[in-house]
Amino acid sequence: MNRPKQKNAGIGVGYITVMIIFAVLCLTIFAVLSFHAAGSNDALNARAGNYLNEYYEADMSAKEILFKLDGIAKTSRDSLFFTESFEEAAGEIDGVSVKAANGGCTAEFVVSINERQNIFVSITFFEHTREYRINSWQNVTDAFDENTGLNVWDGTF
Amino acid sequence: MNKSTKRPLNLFFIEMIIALLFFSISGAVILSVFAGADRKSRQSEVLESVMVLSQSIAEVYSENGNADETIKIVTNECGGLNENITLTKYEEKTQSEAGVLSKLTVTFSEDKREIYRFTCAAYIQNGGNNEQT
Repeated sequence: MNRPKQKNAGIGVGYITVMIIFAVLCLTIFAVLSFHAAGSNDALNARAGNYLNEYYEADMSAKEILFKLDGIAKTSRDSLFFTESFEEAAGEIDGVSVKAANGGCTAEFVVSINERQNIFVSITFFEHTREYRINSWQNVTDAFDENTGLNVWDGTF
Repeated sequence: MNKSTKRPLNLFFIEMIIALLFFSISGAVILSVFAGADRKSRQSEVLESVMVLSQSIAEVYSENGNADETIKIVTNECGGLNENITLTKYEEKTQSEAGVLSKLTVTFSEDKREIYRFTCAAYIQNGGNNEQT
């Protein structure tokens, strides 16, 4: 009597190798992806940190100019001609332009944050009071021009 | 006959040993990559929280021009600093008849390693009020 051959029920040779290679490949991909994600997040935070530094350094420079201008305004109030005296003294500060305004003088200047962005400051100093009014202390890009709108369809054919 | 039944079993064990060796070496490398990613992620998280704190300090300081009061307000609002992080400050004031210009440099460090440093300023007028529109 010929008995049928018994089949080997155990794990075949090569099966473990295939499974291990698959597991190692999966783990390697996950490890590389998580490392890359962490690196990208770190780089983004470093850039944000640099920008924060640049912004507050520019803000500090703008406040230094405000400090000088307020000193000039105080001295100019003691003189007979506030506007002339203020314009003359403030004009000597680098980058500051002065024009006469209602009840005082408006000084405008731009401080650079980085290659693309600036802080635009406009302050009015009053002749009869110690107050000053900050009209604008805003972050603008180089391409900013308030007179140039977006090129959109105006509804006419 | 005895030889032929033993051969696949030996082969299986040899393969398993080689596979385990390969897996343990790869596992060690992969774990170190995971640990590096985790370390980087933690550093990034700390830097992010420190930056938020710095921005708050700069904004509060620009209003009151007092370093101690600013740090007290900000750390209270943000629930205090992480235990490992130390904050050092340096304040410089320039006074004129018109007002006081204060500059504050804050350095955050973790285990004596500097994480982030920034400088901000405040101008406080003597007497008068400044109105922002």
